[in-house]
Amino acid sequence: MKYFDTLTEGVKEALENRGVDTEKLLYCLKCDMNGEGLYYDTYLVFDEKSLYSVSGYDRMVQEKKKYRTEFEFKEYAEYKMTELKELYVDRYRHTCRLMGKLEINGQEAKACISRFSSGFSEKTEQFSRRFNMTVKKEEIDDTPLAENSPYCPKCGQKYPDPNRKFCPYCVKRSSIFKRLMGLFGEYRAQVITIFALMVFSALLGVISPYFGTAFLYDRVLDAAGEFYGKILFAILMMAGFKLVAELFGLIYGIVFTKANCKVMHKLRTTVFAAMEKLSLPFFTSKQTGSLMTRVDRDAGEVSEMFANIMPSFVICTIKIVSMVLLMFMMSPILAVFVLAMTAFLMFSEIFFIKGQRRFWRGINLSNRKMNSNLNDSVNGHRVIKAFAREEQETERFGHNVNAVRSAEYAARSRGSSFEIMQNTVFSVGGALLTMFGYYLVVTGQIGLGELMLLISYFGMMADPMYFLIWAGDDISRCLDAASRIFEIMDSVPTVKPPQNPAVIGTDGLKGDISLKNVSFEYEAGVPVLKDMSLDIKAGQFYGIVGKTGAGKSTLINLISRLFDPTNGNITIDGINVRDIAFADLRKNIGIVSQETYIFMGTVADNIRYARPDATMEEVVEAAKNANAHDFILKLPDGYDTTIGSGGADLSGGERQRISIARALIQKPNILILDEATASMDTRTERKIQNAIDNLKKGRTVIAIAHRLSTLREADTLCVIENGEVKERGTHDELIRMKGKYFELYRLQAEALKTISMD
Amino acid sequence: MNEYKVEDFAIDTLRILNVNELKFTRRDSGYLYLEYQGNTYEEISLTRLQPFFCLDTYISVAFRNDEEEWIEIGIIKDLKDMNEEQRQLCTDYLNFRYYIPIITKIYSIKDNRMGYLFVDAETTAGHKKIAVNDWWTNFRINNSGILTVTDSDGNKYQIPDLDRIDRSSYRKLELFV
Repeated sequence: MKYFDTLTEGVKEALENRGVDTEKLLYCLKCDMNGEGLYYDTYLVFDEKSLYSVSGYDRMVQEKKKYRTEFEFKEYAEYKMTELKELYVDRYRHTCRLMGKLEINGQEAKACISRFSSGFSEKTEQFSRRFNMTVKKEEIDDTPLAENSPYCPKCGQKYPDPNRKFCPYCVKRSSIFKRLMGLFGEYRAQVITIFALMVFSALLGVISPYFGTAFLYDRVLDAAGEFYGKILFAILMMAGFKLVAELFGLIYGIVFTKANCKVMHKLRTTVFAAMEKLSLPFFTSKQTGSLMTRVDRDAGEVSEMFANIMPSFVICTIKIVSMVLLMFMMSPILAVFVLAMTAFLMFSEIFFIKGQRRFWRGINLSNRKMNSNLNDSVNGHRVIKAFAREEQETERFGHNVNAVRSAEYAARSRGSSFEIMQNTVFSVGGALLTMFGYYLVVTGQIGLGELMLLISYFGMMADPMYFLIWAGDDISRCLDAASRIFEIMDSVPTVKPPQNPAVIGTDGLKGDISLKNVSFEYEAGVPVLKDMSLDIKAGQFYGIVGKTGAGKSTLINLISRLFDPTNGNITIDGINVRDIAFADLRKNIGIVSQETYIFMGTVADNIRYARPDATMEEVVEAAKNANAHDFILKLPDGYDTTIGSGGADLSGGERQRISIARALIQKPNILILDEATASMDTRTERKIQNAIDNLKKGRTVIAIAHRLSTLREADTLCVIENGEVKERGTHDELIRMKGKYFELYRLQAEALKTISMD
Repeated sequence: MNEYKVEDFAIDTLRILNVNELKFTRRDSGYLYLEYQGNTYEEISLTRLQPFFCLDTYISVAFRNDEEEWIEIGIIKDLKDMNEEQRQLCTDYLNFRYYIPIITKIYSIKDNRMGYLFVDAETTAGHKKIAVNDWWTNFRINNSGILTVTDSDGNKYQIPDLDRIDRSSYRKLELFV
């Protein structure tokens, strides 16, 4: 029994105690609520005779260092298949019920079997379907389940997000770090160079104050000094060290800039390439902004780790250790004083920053709200003007700007107060150090130059200390960014390419499409297609009709394998679409979608998108067939006009015609038209209809349209409603049937008549 | 072809139900049965038009037809106009339909665990560790201060009034709302 949940030992025991042979159980499902909505663990299992329900509480018990689950038994129920005929899911807002249709002594009844949170509905649907098939003694295919296991194969824990095959429990930060370093392996030489330059620069930074202080006062200006009076020498030493330090800085800057650009380039292209390999659900389940952040900001943060944080970490450590050593060598008592002052300043900084995070988050959130408002107002300006809502929008924006102002004021006033306090402590500390130091100088315990050097080190200690204090946070932030990047790189596409793709002949697929018991849902618990079966013959013109949201476009997405069905199979020419290589599938299926997307580029590039090697003659031919040629010629630069983001504006109908041309140039054997002519005027639609009629020869055409007149010639029409096939047949057959299609057709015809009468 | 009928193109209008004529009955299966103005409806669904703001007013009453479509019969303006027994029946149904675990205490929120947020919380349904992906999208607060949290499985939890949750929980939450 592999699906859907694991039968724990306690539940197994409870079942066996009641005479159930657990070896014969077929599926197990765990639900999470009782009738009152309290968390309660109910295990449902069935064999070929009965459905069993065992309820109670799973408790985690710690034994030494391991956890095991103990089950506290509460209730048991058994439903015989001779009485329980069907299971179905009854959905409410945030919870669902698993219901059973019972037939006892010829009387039909419905009963609630279990209750659960809506997140459990998808697997409960699948469980119910399998139960119903077992009752009807139908064959069950579990292949799709095997490919979409929600459990981590390494630790067995459920993925926090079933659509994201990523287990946070199995990822160690040290392993991310190692992997990150592996990614930068090819830049080892640059890393070592940067590192060496920074070490030199750090040592020079610590030594250089020596020449302006201890060396100058104690050895050059002091009569007892070995370089007494050699002021020019002292100046040359100071200038020389400064020059060398600057030179190292220059070389470091050049090497760093080159390496950083290369690393950024590599990271961005790697993430982008990994993202492009993923399936459509990955993109639909994430906000575009969040994905763009991954390519841009996360890559930036990771390169920051490589180029800045790591070398700085080493430099700061070297600086602090060497300064502390030198200070102790000069005056242990002053060294302790400097360290104590620095520690006090650092701890007060830590305390301040921890409290300040809340304020920064406030600024961030209020800024995001303000930007969303700004985005709304700019993009929705037509509506705002049309409804004369300028004043209200200005007021709304003012309110959001005010929230930003308040958040920034709160953060900055706290920051300023802290800065004043910190500067005061630093000044007072410096004054105390100087006073105490002069006392030591006067009493001859330390030279004046050494004191000056110590005072310089007091000022120099702050920066590396601050860096080291917050280095943990910086490293953590970079590792988080790296983990998000690795998540994309490690994500397995939910729609996987076949391991052993079927061999498709040079003629391509003929286009015999068959759907068998296909079900699908985008969102857990909201089925879009329900147990749908249909056959489309090669060369047929197949029309799909239905209301908005009936599941028509979803059907197309499944045939072209942009998504995989949650249940059932789709075959083309008898081959499961899961076994056809993506390249073969896309080459043979051309889609003109209702959502047209124009890429940034020329008109010709957009038409050539699927076949970059198409000749100009083919581009023009496709444009002519799609009735796009005439409007393209009217564009300022004809086929070379830049369109898409930042380019010339196209109307909805023009975009659609480019999209049709893009599909036609592919010369696919299966052409899918999803409301392809929805944004066009009647004359243009007619013209395109003629073009499509020409293309039908020798091709399988699947067309979705609201305007039924465009589908009148279809060989077969299929009416979909609520994710189910309601009717199918030719136009004449469906009209004679006087069902859904007839109703839709009559309404449209009468509506047109009404318009013409008006 | 049939003749054009006016009702085919009739504009939908608001239909406020006469509460004195509504007679709901609760079946053993939990479904509601309705008798109204001489018609009987086997499976009834009650929907709050404003589930956040108006819990007892503007309730849509719909029935499931033979084609499994929900067809609205009309709207109950205010449950308080019904008799005690009928009001209780409708309220119980609505409470069941809109049931959502309420977060009463937050023990900890672990941020940035590889893109997830783990909320250890006490809810009215019991103790729960909630894994939230992309908190910006899944921590939703509306204008009335009702916070809805959606976990990575799609389950929802609510805090009906952020100002009334204890201070320690609020301090953990305020970074995200």
